[in-house]
Amino acid sequence: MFSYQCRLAWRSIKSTPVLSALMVVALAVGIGVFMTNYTILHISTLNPLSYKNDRLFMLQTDAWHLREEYKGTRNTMPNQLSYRDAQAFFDSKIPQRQTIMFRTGGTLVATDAPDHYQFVWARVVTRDFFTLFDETFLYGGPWEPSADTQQQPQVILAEETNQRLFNGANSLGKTMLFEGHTYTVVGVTRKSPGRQIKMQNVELGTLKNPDQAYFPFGIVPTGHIGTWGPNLCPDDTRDYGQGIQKILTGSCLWLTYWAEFSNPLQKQQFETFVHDYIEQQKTLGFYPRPNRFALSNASDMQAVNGYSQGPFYLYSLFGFGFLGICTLNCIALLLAKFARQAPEQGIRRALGASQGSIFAQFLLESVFIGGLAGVIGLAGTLTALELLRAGYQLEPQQNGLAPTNFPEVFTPDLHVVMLTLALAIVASVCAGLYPAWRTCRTPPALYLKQP
Amino acid sequence: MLPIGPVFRALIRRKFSLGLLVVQISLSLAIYVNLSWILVNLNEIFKAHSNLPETQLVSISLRPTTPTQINYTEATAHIQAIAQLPGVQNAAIVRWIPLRRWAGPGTELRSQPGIDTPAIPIVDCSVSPGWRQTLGLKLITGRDFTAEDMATTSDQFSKTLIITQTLAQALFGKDETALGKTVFFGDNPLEIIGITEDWPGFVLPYPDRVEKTAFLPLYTDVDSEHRYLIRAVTAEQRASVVLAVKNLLNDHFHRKIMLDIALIDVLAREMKSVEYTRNQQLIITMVLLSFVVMFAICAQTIFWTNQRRKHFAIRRALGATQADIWQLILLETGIACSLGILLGTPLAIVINQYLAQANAPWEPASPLLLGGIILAVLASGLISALIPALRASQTPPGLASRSV
Repeated sequence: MFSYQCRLAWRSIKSTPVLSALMVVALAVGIGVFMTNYTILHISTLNPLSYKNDRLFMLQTDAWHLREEYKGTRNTMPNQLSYRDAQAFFDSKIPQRQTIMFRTGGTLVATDAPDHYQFVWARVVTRDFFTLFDETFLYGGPWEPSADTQQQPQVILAEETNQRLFNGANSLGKTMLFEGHTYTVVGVTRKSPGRQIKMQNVELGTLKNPDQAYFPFGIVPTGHIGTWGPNLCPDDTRDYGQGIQKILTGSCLWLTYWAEFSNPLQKQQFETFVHDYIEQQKTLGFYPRPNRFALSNASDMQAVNGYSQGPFYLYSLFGFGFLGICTLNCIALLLAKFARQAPEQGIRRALGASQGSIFAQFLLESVFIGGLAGVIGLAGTLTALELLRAGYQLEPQQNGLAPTNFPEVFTPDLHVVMLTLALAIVASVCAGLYPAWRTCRTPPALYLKQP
Repeated sequence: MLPIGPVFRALIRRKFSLGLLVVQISLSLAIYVNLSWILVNLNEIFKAHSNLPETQLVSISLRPTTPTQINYTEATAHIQAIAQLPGVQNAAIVRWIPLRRWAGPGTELRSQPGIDTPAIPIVDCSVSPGWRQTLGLKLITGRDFTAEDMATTSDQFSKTLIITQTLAQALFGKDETALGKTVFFGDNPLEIIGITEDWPGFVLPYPDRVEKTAFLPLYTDVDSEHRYLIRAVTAEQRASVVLAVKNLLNDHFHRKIMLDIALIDVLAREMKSVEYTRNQQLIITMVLLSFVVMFAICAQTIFWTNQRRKHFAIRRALGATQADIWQLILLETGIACSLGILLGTPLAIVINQYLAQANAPWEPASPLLLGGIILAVLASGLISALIPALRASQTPPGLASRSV
């Protein structure tokens, strides 16, 4: 019976080839426009660490000044903490794993091959960083825990940096100059397969400027490495001295802090600790604003930083409106097409076909139209994404610094492909429901009377 | 006299189809208005020029690959040597690269001391004497930096600064001159000794926006990166100048230096290419939307007219001319489009107001833009109805007698 319905539906499409083709094209255009923009939005807000959403959190505290609220994030709390605060939270030792970090950069030079150098984006982190953010190792491993607190000049290279500087060879034990100071290579991280989405890159966006080297947090007091990330200074008139002393004791916010909790109780303990710490700091004249802090998982951090609200969010909304117009257009055309076929259906009804089987046949016809539109719409989406990739392509930087553009957002994933096809079917079924219902309810006698 | 009565009755008879068409037209009007508004604003960015001698300018960043610090005396010697090279017009030390999309640190200036006074967010850029001539910025009033103004070690800070016109007005208003006034950079008092014309800037170099920039006569000797901005006499000479400067610096540092070359016209082009792609994307979307909406109007009008062929034939048999049938069809379509416009205009305005707020300082869509798009939608609706009207007007009157 189903194959019979399918044959009838297909025959009906073939009986009006031009009208059917135009409906398919119109729906495909709507699907293509929406899915192109949606793909970019979807990929740029992907969170590969979503499976840790219930245990991995970034801490924000409202350490801003009293005269105005912080305007850089949706929850009006800076993403960064001062060294003083971050170190206090780190010393609590409550979380199962935790990391303090900041973005830096500079020139890396292989000491035994001075012609091999590279300008890099780097990150200064504590040991747990690599576990927290699923960074795996090609050679070596993370530094010892003591490097988080003591000055141990070590470096971990990203696979691509190791490739450029050492032709991909095992570089463990080699020494490197970074900003004029010597570091020993203790590890090389493996480039993760697929998209390079780094949730830790709160500073610039998760798809931009991937880290090319890592340094242990314990070297911060040497003052050899400065921040390349935000350095937000709330009003504070205290004299903190100069240079590294001012950086370590002052109120400027430049470090991000992430923690992983093994259970909700541990998280609750940490929240109590943070609350009490802020209260204690208030007695010392810090934290002039109300006691506020937030532990947000990686997905929430995207929302807090407005990554999901860029121009492609807007274009996706317009694209959805466009698809709505195409679907309404399809409803009107299907209504016309089915009305033309009403006499034929009248004869089928008179010969014993039920209303349901007429309805099913019309709906199948809509599904066929939607399926075709989905395939063409998908081809259109892929073409449009390739054109956009070429348009947004920036010239590669000669100095080795990771590119600031993000071509990965133009590569759709399986989710996008499936959604395109499903959306096409759903849109066509929505378009076909009313015309099919209206046509199948037409009394057969009306058409049987006609010559 | 227009056949308003018959037209309305005909429209009411197919109210569902009419409703669909009206919603399609209203939605497309709202999308048209707002995409056009974005397009107009992006186009301004794309068309605008930075007013810098982009093709003559090159920035060279120096990063020694050995533990070496370049002090001010050494950097000045480089600048002097570079200025002597053939084809070089000017050279200076600058902290930031012009027109590079670089989210550099934002700082604040105050016209009064104390943290409780209002602060103006600015971009500050350390420079050396000669920076203005190199950059090609005009000095509106005041004087340039001299060697005596320079603070050249990490324990010194500038005593003077030069600011852009927009920053001067933001600090002291349009009626008061900023020249000679003291402003506060943190706790440091600085005297404004010059005001330059406006320019796109370092941090967010959108050509349609001006940056509130403060130029400070400052050199930080502990920095691991230093940057020289060089202006060639002509665009053609720039390539040879770059080569000569690279050789000079490589020789000086015995090749233990990393040089990062940034051609300013390439940066400007990159900046605009992104806007250009967005621009093209919006244009293609609007063309496709036009195609879909015109197709919708055309196809639905054909369907309506086909359903009423006998009706047109009777009218023709009773004496209606082909022009009368044309008038009938175009009037029906015109009314459907007008209803769509009536519904779509408030929707477009509401969406536009929201977007304008979110994209400040973009102004909301002008009445001219709105009116133009309304007329375009009405015109394209009527054009879409031409083929159905032609077909309907050619209905033979004999069809009426054959079918009765």
